[in-house]
Amino acid sequence: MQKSNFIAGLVLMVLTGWMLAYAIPNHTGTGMGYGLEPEGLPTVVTWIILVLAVLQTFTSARNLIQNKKKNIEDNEVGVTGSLGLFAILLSCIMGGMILLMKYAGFLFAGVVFMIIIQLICGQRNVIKLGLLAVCTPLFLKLAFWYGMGVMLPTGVLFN
Amino acid sequence: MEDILAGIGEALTLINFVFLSLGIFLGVIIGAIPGLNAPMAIAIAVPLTYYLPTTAAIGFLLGINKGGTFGGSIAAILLNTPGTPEATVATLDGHPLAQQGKGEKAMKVALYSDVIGDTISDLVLIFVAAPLALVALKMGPTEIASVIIFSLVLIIALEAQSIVKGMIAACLGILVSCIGLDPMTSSQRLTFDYVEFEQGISIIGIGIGMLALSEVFLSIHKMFTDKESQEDKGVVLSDNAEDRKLSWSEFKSCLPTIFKSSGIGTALGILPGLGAILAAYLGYGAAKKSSKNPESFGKGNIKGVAAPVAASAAVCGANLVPLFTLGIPGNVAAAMLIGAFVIHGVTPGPLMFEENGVIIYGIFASLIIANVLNLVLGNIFLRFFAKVLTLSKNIIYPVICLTCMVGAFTETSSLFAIGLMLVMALVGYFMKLLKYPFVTFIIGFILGPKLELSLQQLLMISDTGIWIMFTKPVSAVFMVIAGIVAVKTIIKQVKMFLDRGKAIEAV
Repeated sequence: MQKSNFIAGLVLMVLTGWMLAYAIPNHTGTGMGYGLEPEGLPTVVTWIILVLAVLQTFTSARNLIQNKKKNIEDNEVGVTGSLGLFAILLSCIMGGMILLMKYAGFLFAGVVFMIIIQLICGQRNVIKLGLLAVCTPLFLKLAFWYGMGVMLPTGVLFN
Repeated sequence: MEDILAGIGEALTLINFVFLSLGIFLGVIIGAIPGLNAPMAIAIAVPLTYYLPTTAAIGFLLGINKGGTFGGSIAAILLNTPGTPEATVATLDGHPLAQQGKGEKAMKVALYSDVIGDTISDLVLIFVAAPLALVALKMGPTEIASVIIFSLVLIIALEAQSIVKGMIAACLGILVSCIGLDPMTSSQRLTFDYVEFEQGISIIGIGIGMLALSEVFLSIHKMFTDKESQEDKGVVLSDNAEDRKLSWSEFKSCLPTIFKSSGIGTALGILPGLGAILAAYLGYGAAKKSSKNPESFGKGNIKGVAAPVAASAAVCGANLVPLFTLGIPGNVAAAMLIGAFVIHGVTPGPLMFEENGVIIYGIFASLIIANVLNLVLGNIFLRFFAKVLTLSKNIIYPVICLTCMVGAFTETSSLFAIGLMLVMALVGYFMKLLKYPFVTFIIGFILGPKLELSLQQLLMISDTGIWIMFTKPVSAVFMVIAGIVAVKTIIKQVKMFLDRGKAIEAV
């Protein structure tokens, strides 16, 4: 998985560079002038990550070049391919559910979410699909309200 | 003495019994299902315990942990697929026994070994924790900082396949822990002007996202790619009485193995980072070596089931020793328990015994009661737990996803928390894919604030700055050991790197 390691190293280098150049200096308060300053620990660990990311990028690049020269196949984890896209797809679905929950409430959003996720998981029995899609959010809403007094979102549209 | 008696009284309440039993029941079911594990269930359950009394809440979570250890061995024995990573070793002899129609016998061996191993390590915890806490109270910021650095180095060296990735993960965890208010000046730090970040990132959001949801993402994807795993694997238990029962002579023959493995697991569990998997392998290896018929191991020897299960169960209680005495989690489950303690206003560490003595002794009593309940429930519901393995994954995973979202919402009643959990799930997902150890991330996240506070304090009291950690005797010992472990690990990694280069050159 040298290609994945190489890309991960590059991403970490960019992230830590941004942290050191912008985030830490601009989003950290001032200290008392003695002891450990507020930016002390974040700066130290960010530098450690940067150095290690450079090391990782360098070694992966070296290994990639060597593998290519010798025509050696590598086991890639598909981060840049199907696996990564799959995670992003699921996250988008769940992110969409959060927005739907905000406007339409937990019950409606929960039913829609359960239908989509069950279909992704391969559920094709319509009765089981429907039952679980309705019963699970309903059970959770009732359990949290009557059991713990926690009101799950009712939605802006229904308020 | 009053605290001890009051604690025992708290543990003997009906609500405590109910939640201990529920925790164990859930833990066994979750542990039995491959792809799910006890730390995941603990992460989801932590916010749900907010409204429970503290002893019942912690007891519930500990029950899940205990049940999960036994549950993992059920799938290992019946399906040759470990429900939890530490149950891998139990497949070596457990599954051959199941193939001979003795699956129920093997599960009984696993249950009794689990209970005995857990009880022994719980007793060690009970008798060792309080005196160790007294020693820990004498530790100053220098010693605490050195112990934290030692723990981090040890966990990185043991958990990470690559030291570079392990250190990156730990440092990322420490960096994320810096988000919020600076502990000394209370000024905003890395909040990017979001009010929601001022309280810092919650361990619950990280736990649910990285432990539970990311694992579910991976499992759902695996369902697409590995069609074989979607088929219902038949679980057949014999009705023959001889195959089902574990005779007294068989159990007696396993006892020395169980005690020895429990000792191994307890010793390993006290040190942070040395997980149950290592204990299981060492326990199995020791049992095989000392056996009169070592060639029978791997072919259905009940001691081959007893040894790894007892060893990995013994790690559970022992892992709580560094948590209760120093506030340092020994494993992921202990890390999640910190979240539960914080919710209930208890700060893990040596002061727990002084400030929350009743709760601590209540938890100790609950640990012993939980072992008895584990034995009783395990015996009663053994066949039912085996049936759980046939539950369809396209029912379980959607329910878990929705429960994760609700669990994340419960803590702060805000949708922002769900979004944050989702981000952490993505981070955890990619960390697992790219083999960055998320365990070191979580432990770095938990230990980051303690480390920073200790460093702050030692810099204020020291004339020599950070070098005081090498001049004070106790901290110097920990730093030297940490240095030795780090150097050995780096040398090993460099050697692997060079060997790889030579192997490629030779092609």
